[in-house]
Amino acid sequence: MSKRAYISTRKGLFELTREGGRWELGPVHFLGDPVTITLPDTRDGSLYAALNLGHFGVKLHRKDAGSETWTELAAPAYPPKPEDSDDKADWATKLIWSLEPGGPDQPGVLWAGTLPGGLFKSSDRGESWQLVRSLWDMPQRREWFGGGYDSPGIHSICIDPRDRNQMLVGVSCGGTWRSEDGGESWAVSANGMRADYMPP
Amino acid sequence: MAQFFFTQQLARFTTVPQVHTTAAQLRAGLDSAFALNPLLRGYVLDDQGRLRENVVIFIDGRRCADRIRLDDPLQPDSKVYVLQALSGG
Repeated sequence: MSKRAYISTRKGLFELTREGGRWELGPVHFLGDPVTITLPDTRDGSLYAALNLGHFGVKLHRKDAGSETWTELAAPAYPPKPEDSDDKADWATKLIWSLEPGGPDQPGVLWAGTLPGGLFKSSDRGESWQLVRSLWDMPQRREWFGGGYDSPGIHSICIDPRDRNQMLVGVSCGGTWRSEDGGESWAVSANGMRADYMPP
Repeated sequence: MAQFFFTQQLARFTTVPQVHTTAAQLRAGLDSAFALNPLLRGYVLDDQGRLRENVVIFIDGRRCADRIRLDDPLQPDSKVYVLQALSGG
């Protein structure tokens, strides 16, 4: 059992350590600020925290192994929306909702799922991000819709630990999407998923 | 030269530069500030380069006219305040 837990809250990131059979509150980071997700990267010991500062937008920070200080990184950002686009989505990051490391043999690779539905990849420990166009440009993506939020979002990213090319992302609301080639191509994988309240 | 003043709330998160600029328009003036701290851009503008929904800019006491183009003219003695927009009741 892990002896450390990171709790992301709207009032900061709380670090808990387990000692003597009970959890003890450790350092608190970003006190008072909304932390939407935290990723401890076991490959190199670094810690990532995504924030949503409201007025000032979505931010991403990294704390390297052994360091006491956080470094702000570039947050995933959408490319300029083509002027002639009829896409109703607002191409702007509203939230980092999921954050996952790449495979054990991919040091520095990270994946981020966002509102309004874009999946991003970094190959340099979060220093820069690229929108995964293979998923964003799928025509079906425009049919995704918000659940608890106004816009759709990627809430889960699952990388198969045995084969990093096998990926599965969960979308609220847009089903699950599977890639078998490390994100180069995608197909919906939602057979049997049906909400009772939806029309047949 | 036009002067830019950023809310001290921003100083909690990132370096807020002192900016004196010869820029003739608002966006160019903001770019002068972003050149000093590139991370500041993401606090003021969104991914598409628009003024963030909850950020407001006043130029010589007048609210900026276009949140997308940010093309308000600046005078040599303009004072530009970049603030968070407050709401509530």
